[in-house]
Amino acid sequence: MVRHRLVTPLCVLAALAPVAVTVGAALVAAAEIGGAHPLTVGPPRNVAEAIAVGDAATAARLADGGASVTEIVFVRAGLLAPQPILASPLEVAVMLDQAPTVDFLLARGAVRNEHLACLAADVGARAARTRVGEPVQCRKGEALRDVLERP
Amino acid sequence: MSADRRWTLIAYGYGALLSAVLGYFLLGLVVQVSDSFGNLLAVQKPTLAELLRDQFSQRAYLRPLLWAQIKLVYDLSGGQYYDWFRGIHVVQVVLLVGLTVAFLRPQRAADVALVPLSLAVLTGAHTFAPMVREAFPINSFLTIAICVLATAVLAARDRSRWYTDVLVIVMFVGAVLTVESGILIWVVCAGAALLKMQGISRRALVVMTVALGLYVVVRILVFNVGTPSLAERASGFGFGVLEPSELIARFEGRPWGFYLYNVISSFSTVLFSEPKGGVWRFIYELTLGSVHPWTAVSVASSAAGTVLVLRYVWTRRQQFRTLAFEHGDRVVALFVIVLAANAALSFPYTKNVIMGPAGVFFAAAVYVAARSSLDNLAAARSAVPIAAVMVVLSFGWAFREVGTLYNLRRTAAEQRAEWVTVDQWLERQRLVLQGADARTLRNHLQRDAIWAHPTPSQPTSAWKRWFDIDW
Repeated sequence: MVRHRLVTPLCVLAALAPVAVTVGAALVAAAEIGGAHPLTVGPPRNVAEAIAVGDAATAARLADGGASVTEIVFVRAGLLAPQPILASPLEVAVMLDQAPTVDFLLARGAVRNEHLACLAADVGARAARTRVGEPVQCRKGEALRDVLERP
Repeated sequence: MSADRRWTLIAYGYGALLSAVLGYFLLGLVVQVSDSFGNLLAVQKPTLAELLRDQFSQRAYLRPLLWAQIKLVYDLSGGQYYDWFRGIHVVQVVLLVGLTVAFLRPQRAADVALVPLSLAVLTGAHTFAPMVREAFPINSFLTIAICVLATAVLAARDRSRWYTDVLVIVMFVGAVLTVESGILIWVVCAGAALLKMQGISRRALVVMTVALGLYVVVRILVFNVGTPSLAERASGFGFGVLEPSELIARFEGRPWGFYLYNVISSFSTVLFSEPKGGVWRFIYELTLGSVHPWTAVSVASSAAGTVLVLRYVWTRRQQFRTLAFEHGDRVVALFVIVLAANAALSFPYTKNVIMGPAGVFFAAAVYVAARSSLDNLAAARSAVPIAAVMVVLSFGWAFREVGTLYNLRRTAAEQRAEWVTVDQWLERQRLVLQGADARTLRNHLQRDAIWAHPTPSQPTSAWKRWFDIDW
């Protein structure tokens, strides 16, 4: 008898998590249609942020709209790292080893230099290294630290 | 309105809500570069007749209607490619979810309570994710899954009608000439006949059997199509992926071991989410001592579903032995039949998406088994194991449903990124855009992907820890 009474709670338990996910996702969708962005940080604010979230198309659109592809900009917390950082689009592309995006930025006027080559070496970005070149002279970890601790 | 009907409507209402959510995330995708742009270029110039004729001289695959569908939609779209191809994908998902609810036949409150779990098993499966994440630009595997499920729903009806017979035969011919796994429609019809299901007449089964024989003869003896060779594509094997050259080096002259591996892998992937794409990831991660949360949840939730289905088969063994079937028995039996046939058809290579139809029937079988377990709880020795399995199922598959939505959102950005560097992709594929029409198509699709339909907001890095894994 006691076990029989368990049926209803177990049915509710079985339904609980899937229903919560579906209703939650429906609310997220409704909020997004209404212009809000729950569970995400919303649209990227600059080219570097777009690259940080793996959204090269928005990076291209922003660049076409006149946004700088060379400027060091603010990347919000949770996009590239748990803390906010200041970085250029090319630095972000190198840190994420996004070789096609590096190509795109170089074609749009971004400039490769020794700092980027060192950064690629620091983060182990194999694909990006083929684009920004091999480092000649750099201290291990220094380029990455420079970016993460940029004031 | 009767109480039964009210509960059934609630179940469909939940299916509609889930379809709307999936549809919203699906509309975040665009016509992709890989597997879609090349196909659209291929159907641009030839007429429908030329396209069909060309397909009959192909090797390894005989899929004339797959190309015909792409051509028809391409021509009908009048340049509104996003609207048509993405719209079709949404309609496909609505159909699949609706047919799943129809197959489950929920009538009581306790039934309806298990529908969300079953739909989570459907949409959270790694065999489902590629059916919504990719398109070519129509996802033919999803088409097959819909047709196979529709056949099962028709077979489960009380009696056959001439028009349902015609519909099933048309679906069979259409599906077989779209993708080889369309043969599963015949498998479901034959299985339904064995299970004494009344919805499809024997006459229709005979017609389909003759058509299947004709297909096999024509494929082998007339068009000499053959099957995909070892050189066709890379394939998962053991703990890694073997390139075609490695497959040839290892299996040339004796491919049966490789084929057997693929069949066993396909079987196991539906029941245990392991291996995925032929790669035994969970075991590999165990040997490293570091199991990714996604891998652990996948294996645990699938195994829980399998345990429940096996328990159902054991408790109903008397009915199976005496062929005294109820609807639930038939659903589970059809799952076993479809799983076996689907795995056997996957012998040339193993891919998660190919096992999509078996994944759909697994969701239905889990529903039947869960309902039976709860109905018979009073007779069970202990309620604790069943309660524990229900917890793993509910939370595990809900987690995987989130994973599918996350996957769709990430794919939205990845697909658009391909359009930024589409010219490099064309170079790599050694494709040259010939003529103004081809360039116009490239520009149109690129504009759609980058400017007309901006990337939806992307999840933060906190989500990546849980879901960002090679699927």
